[in-house]
Amino acid sequence: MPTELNRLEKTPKISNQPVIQFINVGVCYRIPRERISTIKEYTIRWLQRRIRYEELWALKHVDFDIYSGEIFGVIGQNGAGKSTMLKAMARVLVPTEGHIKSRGLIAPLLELGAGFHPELTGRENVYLNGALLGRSRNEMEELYPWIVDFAELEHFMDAPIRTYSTGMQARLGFAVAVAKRPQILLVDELLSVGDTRFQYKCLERMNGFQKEGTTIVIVSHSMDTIRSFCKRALWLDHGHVLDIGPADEVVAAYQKAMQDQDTRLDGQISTPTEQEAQTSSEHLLYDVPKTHPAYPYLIAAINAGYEITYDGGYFAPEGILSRAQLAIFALRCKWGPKYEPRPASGEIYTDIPRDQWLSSYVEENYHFRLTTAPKGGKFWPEMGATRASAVYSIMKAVEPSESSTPNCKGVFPDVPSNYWAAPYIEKAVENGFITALDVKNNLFYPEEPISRADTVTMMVKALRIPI
Amino acid sequence: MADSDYLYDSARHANSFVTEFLALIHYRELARQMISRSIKTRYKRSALGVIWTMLNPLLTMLVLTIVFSTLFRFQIEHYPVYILSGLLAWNFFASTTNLAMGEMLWSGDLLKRIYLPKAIFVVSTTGSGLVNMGLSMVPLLIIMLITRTPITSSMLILPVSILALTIFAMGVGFILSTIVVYFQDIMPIYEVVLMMGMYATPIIYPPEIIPERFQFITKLNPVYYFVRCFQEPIFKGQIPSLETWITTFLIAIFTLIVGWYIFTRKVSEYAYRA
Repeated sequence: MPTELNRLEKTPKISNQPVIQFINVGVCYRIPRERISTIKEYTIRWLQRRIRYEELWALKHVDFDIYSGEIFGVIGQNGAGKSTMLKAMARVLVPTEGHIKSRGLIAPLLELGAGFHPELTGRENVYLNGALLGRSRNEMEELYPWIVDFAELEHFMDAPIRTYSTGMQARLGFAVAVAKRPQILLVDELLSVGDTRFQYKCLERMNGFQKEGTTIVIVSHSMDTIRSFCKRALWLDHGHVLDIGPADEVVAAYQKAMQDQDTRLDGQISTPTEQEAQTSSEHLLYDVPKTHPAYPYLIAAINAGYEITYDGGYFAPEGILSRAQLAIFALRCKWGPKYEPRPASGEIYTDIPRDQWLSSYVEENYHFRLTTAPKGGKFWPEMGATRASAVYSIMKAVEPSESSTPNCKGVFPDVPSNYWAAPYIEKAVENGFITALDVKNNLFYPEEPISRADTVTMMVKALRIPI
Repeated sequence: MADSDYLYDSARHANSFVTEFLALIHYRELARQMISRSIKTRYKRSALGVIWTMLNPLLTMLVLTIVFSTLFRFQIEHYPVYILSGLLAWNFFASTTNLAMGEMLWSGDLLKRIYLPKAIFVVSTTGSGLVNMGLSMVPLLIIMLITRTPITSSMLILPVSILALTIFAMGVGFILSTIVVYFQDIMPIYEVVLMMGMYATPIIYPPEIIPERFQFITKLNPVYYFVRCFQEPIFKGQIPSLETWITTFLIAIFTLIVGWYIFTRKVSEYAYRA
């Protein structure tokens, strides 16, 4: 959204007073070579002096200041230590060596809604979240009306938060975090939540803070964001500061280095072997451990040409799949990984205007009957897709279009044979594309949200892509 | 303290004997919410609600009274009151320390994501323990009336006994919460220790029945000093001697200081632990 970002002033009042100081900071994770979990084992090893640790320095000799009122960017490749740096600023991690000094109230926009309790209502969660950020009761009572108004959730505050969509939760989390102007705002991957209009509101809010003198630290993979937002930037590489200075220059140096690296790699490998192709897909999946059950399926999907990761290589395997994402996945399942839909009319769903980028995907989902949302109603693209709707969409996408509806046997007690998606669920389970959520009690939980990992696993199995 | 004046220096937090305490005060609203939530969730789903807290010690007492007065034939007058007064202290101690450790462990994920004063878990479980103890006073008074146990003015000393026990339980809670970060095995081990402790402490039997050569066990059992500060005023109608009070408070304060010291020294490593 570069046009909107450009609206923010680049140089408000910046003083010479440092608000955050990193003084020779090092953060070291000590990872035991072998997993020791019992006292007996530990005692034996300790007596034998055989506990060996692998030292992993996520940050080393990091030394810089951030001044009051500036917008400061942090860039670097995945695993360079950016998140560790933010966590250290947010006081979650105490550095192993050196020290960090900061002045003023810190609002971390790192874990929006961390500690939201699914069973409590929206209102109770606002107070709980406020307390988790160290706010007093009086403060929260004062801020409460503003929070509800900003999150636009007036009618939902008495409903338990488990009934909220991911978008709604993110809005509420953001509203609580920015209800009070902090001296320092820490932002990880700016604007990765909510719809465009809400993102715009968030920007306005941050803009307002900054005019009043709040210091903002942004970590992002988007060079456009850093360039248009930040005055200064820092380039982290393997825990070391490679460059610090005006954002334009640091970004340019970073981009040049990345290009050089790419051409060097291209020169070395003229024809990538299978194994190297594998490594490049792993690189895209850095937040999925190799031991994750979905891992081979995700690699298979990427190798087959499906774009399943977010911008920057995140996959968020346990994240909830939105209905919009499901629409895109289902359409590409049907017509191939690179399929681009025809332009939309804007007349099918009332909440999806024609000019929204996902409108063409959603409308073709309707045309090819990959969704059961009726014409003229709402599509709810931000809501989480349920297990039933995901099974329905994927099964419809991989099936020959005119095949007859399979029969129902009533396999799951919670999916009666008259349930709308029952035939598809039973067929998908029979073919091993998806399993019951509660295998022991044979419960499928059709109305539960489906994770991104489960969806892609099901896609790969249903498309019979070899893993 | 205005927010803009707030200074953070990680060097001071690495060994945060004082800073952790200041942070705790700053987050007192969180402690209040955690206490009220634990009490609400405990009673929300059961039909008898708060009554359970009162019924639980009553039923335990009933079983113990039947078993022990018929099997072992203790010659104790007002035996139910004797059991209840000891259980009051023991249950508070056992549940508070055990829960503090559990909360610390279950909140690990949260602690890796946002900053919180980690001592908040020990403080809030102690707080909810105090509320529950207050509720269990009601059945105790009812039983005292039924069994015609004299209710004397010496019971007014109970707040002091509660204070001593609270200090002690928090100290033990801090020690256990530090250990559990390194070894989760401490949880089942502690359950066993608690069970043994319950029988090693004169709660369901009078101290006199212990053979002379085993009397030293009672002397070495720190919890018994606290239990006695409940049994004597309630059951015997006596105020414990000055000597008892001094010993009790010395144990309590020493435990708390040791617990707080090792907890605040080691706790910053928590976010590093998987």
